[in-house]
Amino acid sequence: MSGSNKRFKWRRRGHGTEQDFELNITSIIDCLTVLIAFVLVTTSFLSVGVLEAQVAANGDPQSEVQSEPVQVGINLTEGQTIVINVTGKLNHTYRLNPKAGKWNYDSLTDHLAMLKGEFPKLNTATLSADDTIPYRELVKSMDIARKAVPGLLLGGF
Amino acid sequence: MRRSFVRRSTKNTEMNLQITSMADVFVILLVFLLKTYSSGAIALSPSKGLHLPEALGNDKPVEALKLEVSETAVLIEGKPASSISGFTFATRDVGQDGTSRSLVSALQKERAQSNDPKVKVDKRVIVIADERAPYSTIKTVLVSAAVEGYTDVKLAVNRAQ
Repeated sequence: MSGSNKRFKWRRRGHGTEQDFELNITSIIDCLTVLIAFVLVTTSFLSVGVLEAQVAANGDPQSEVQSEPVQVGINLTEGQTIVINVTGKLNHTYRLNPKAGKWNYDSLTDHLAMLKGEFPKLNTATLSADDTIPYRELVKSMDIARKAVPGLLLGGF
Repeated sequence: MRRSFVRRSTKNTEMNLQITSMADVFVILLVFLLKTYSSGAIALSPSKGLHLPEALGNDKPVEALKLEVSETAVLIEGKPASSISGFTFATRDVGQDGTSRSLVSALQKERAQSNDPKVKVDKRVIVIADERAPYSTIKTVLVSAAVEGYTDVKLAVNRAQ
């Protein structure tokens, strides 16, 4: 690559005189190669984002929850059952049993959408899980719940 | 069979490498790489072997204290703070209040290092935890951080495409 002697030639005409000059792109190619190698090594193709969460044990978010029309608690339990506990203007407990051996996230979406429809001012929910539940499932539930309830508190402390 | 040692008239074997098209390809490649290059001010790269959970986390990473939970250790800003085994804290390390003694101690040291009375203490903390970690371990980390004043929690996730 760098050993090639290929050169660009520009010819400029002006007032009857010709001026030739050559642009040596070999060094440019060398620079590009080094630059690409550097970018390839340092770039991270993993796209990392963050999920906002508050700790329910803290004082401030608790007061936020109290001002809600209903208090919604989502609990991931062993046996892949999701328990939605609603208190306040509505007192009800929904048990979402696993579907085809997996967490029933579709039902969670439906129930939260229903609660949001019934109580449009609902903006906060508390999410907790049993000790053995993998963090992966907690994040997945958070991701789903955030669509209906933007403010999520982590509980169970 | 006799072999002739007479050198044949050499043809013009000069090879012309089309360097112009190569330059074009390189420029396009460079533009593509620069576009995908994570040029943000915050470097949020998990350690080798740590699998982040997938989510649609739309919020952009911000500058905050980084707490990493891997299979064998809890790290603060990349430095080991607590050693754990199989994502679980040792029973003797966890106090009655659910905090980890070693982690709280390391967080106190971290806070003491940046203890400037003029600078407002930042409550933000980014938790970079492995997706296989049980919630009990995450709780211990969060409670330990909350005790030291880190209450604004951000969970690092692998952004699903």
